[in-house]
Amino acid sequence: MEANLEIKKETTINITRRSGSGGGVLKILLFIFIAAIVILPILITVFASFKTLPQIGSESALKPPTSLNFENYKEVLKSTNVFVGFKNSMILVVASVVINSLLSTMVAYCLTRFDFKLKKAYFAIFLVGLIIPGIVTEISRFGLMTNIGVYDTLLAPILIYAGADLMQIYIYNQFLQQIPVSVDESAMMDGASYFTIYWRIIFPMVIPATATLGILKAVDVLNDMYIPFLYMPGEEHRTLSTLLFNCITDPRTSSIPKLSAAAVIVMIPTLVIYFIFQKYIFSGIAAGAVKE
Amino acid sequence: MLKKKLLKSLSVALVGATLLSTAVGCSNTNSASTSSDKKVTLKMALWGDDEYKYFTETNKIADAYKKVHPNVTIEVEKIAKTEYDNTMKIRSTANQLPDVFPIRQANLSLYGDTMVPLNDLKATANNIYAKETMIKGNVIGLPEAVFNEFVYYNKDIFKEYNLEIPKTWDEFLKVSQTIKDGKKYTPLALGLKDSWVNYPLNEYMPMLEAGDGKYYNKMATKDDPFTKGQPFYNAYTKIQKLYDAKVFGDDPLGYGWDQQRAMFVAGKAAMFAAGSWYKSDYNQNGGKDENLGVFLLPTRNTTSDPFYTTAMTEFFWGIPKTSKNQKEAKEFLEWFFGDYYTQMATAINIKPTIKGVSYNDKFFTQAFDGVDAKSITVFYDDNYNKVKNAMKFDVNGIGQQMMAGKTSLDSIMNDLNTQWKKARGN
Amino acid sequence: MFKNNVKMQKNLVLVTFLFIPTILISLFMIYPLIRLVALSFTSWDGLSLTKTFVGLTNFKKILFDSPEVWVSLKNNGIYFVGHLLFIPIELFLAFLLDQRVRYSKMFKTITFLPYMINTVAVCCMFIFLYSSQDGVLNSMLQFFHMDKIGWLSDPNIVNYSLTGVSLWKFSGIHIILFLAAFQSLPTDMIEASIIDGASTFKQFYHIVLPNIKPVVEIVLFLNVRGALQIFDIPYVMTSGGPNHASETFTVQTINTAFQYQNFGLACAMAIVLMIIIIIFSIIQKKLFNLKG
Repeated sequence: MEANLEIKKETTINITRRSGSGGGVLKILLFIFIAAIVILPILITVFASFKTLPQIGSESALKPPTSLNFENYKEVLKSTNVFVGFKNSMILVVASVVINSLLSTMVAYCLTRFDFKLKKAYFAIFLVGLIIPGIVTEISRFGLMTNIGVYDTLLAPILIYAGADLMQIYIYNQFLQQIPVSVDESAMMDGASYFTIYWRIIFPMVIPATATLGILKAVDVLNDMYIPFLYMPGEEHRTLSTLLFNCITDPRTSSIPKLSAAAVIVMIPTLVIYFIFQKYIFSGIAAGAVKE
Repeated sequence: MLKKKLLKSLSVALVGATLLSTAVGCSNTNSASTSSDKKVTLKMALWGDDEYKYFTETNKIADAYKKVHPNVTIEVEKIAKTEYDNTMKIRSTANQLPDVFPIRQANLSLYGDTMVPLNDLKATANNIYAKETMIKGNVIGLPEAVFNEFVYYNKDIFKEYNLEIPKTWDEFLKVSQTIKDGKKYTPLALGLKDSWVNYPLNEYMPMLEAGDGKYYNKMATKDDPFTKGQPFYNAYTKIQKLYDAKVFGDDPLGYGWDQQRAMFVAGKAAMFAAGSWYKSDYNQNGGKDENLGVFLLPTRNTTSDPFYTTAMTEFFWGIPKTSKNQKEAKEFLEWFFGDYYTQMATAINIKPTIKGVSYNDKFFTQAFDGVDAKSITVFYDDNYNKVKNAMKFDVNGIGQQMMAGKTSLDSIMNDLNTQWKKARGN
Repeated sequence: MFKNNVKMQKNLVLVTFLFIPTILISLFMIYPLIRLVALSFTSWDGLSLTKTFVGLTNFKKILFDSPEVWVSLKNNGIYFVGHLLFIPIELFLAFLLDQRVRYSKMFKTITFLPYMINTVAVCCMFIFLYSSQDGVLNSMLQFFHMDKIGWLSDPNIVNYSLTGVSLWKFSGIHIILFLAAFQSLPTDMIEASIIDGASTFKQFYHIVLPNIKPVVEIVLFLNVRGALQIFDIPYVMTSGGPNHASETFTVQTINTAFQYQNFGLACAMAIVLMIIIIIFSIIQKKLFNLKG
């Protein structure tokens, strides 16, 4: 395995060298163009967050702010308790990611390693889960949540996030299919039970994938506004996104500068997570990626 | 004139109030004594930023109420405005509505069976608008504030072009055209990307034309209310003239409410049509009072025609039948619409709905000077809502269509007649 | 005896591993789905206590008496085609990013950045960009002496502008998935082609492409689902305007349920949408396999 990686590294260096001399400049220009498209909207939002409303009304959005005016940020943060929001968001992220990766790998393990009667039906159910249009089913889900008594607790969103995520199961499935069944079989010969195989062999082997999927899930959870907003109205249960949802979604009183400041504040935690963990995103997917 | 009308309705209602209050007063004291020992938490949701600030910072409602009812704890919850209606509906189906909460005007008839009738409350008798906004014969919510609609304008720009406050629709068009011809300012900021911003025109003008705040309800009893010569048609002909004059900047469908406000605050636009609620927003975003003026949208044809203006009660405080603390909630509403309300109305400067609560806002009274404006109360009943929902009637969207100017008004109106008739038939 | 033991163990694993996910999926997916189907045969307004059974009326209304619903489906089509046309471009970019361009690490980070940003924040950014008053894009056009474009105001353009936002946000995740697939290809395969002197394009077309079919298939499925369910971008940016020109099927569903108080009809619309997604996915899969 390690030797394999070593080879790959060498060849990639070769490839880079080879193609670097060819249309290299063109390629770089192409990516600089793409980078500009990605960054432009973000940049004008950051600019706008430092301006006043009269400035927005009178000058070009591309013009950088003349001074670093933090008024808008102050105003957004004033009405919100960021620490409570941060704490709740982190609890949701950690709980959802951990439970979700455990459940998804367990399901994927069952689906790839065993044949059972309802296997096809089971897979179909997950597929249906992926295409149910969200908000319309929310009314019955909401009733359910209140009936089982988790309304306005952190458990409500955790249950929803941790539940079936077909995308994750699908990708884990692909990963597991790559691990030869012979690995399981030899462990079986050594007297390992299915539980041991899952916990000692399978789970560790999909950790790279888990890193990636976990980060993607974390980003989803951090950015999700609607579920925490709907299921946890309590002041003490605000998350980072619902704190900001309240100031973003008021069409009458939110103004472009405040909105921009709020947008920047929502972006920051996600981007921090992204920049810290980005190497796992790429290497994780690569390590066990999908192939035929 | 408005004042006269107020006084008249005031005196009528006062008589009713005194009659009612004696009866209600008795039962109230009884219930208060029996429930005073029980510890109760009343959950309340609210709509409105100024109210939230007042309830939670300026004059904490929970503390104020504790002094009178030590056994009752009030929990205030603020809900994001764009999601308010949906959230309340979803909660309602799961019996999770707060004990006290405001219902918005547009949804009032929908909540007809869900809410506790408040017919007997003293606060109801004191409310000027409650009896005008009953659902199926019951008062299910008490309006908190009345909004009038205005045209805000930039005094400097009006001076620059020597403009007078317009008194008729034609004068209004002329003022807009003059500013447009000057090529320096946008005459009327209207960010129609957000379709709702045209409500003072597309939603309210048919009412002003008919001189009836319940005109839509009347329309719901007819098969073809969009025919030529009818108030709706006349009002929309006027609106079309304004839209055709292209006095909203380059491309009004391409900018939204945010940009509309930015243009006005920055002094790039001369006029701005919105309710009285916009004033605090203007000031919060750096707008200056010196050059801000305000007048009533003149929709009449000649100065000898009557001048109408709308009074809109945006939200109604009510108690759901699912509340376990209905008695306490009713007591709370009685208390709320007393002294606390009087102080709040002054502090956040809303036009009160309660008799005897004074409203003295110099800024807005300038709009009523010199015009004999009659106030009409906006109200949509169940019957109208049924037709509206069946055909997905959307006046704001029609406004966008008129602004685009690709379909003739006659064909839009004919189309509406057909759909309306069909929706009524179902 | 040994065999029996294994079989029992297998059943035990299946039961324990699938127990929680099954509970979660039945509570939060299957139950709401059943309710959805049941409500689609009623004329419920979403609030009142009475739910009147109306048989197939709602479905008949959608199929035969709701031209606006089918117009909105055409708008979904624009998102679908837009993303579909972008898939080859995304594939090629991923191929280049797979070590075939200098600074690929940095470019990877930038390409994936938009996916990390909250959708509402993204919408705010693009509202400034597209605005007809001091909007960035129009001032750029003016700079080059070109006519202004009604990005969000022209009914013939608005859907393309919104598709652009969707592409900006979601292309990154496709590129990452493709990248993962490339990185899992056996390196000797590419090595051999380099030695043969194959150009970058030839490597891509003849060697890489045929080997990543499963990933392309996932992305195609995600595209059908995403395009047909697209909701937040038009809802936040234009609320379906001007005059309903940018309403998508889901925006219509939500408005029917909440703005026009016709919950039964909205449930029926949700079911119709699910059926459309399933049919579309099957057709696409068949076509894709024919070509492959």
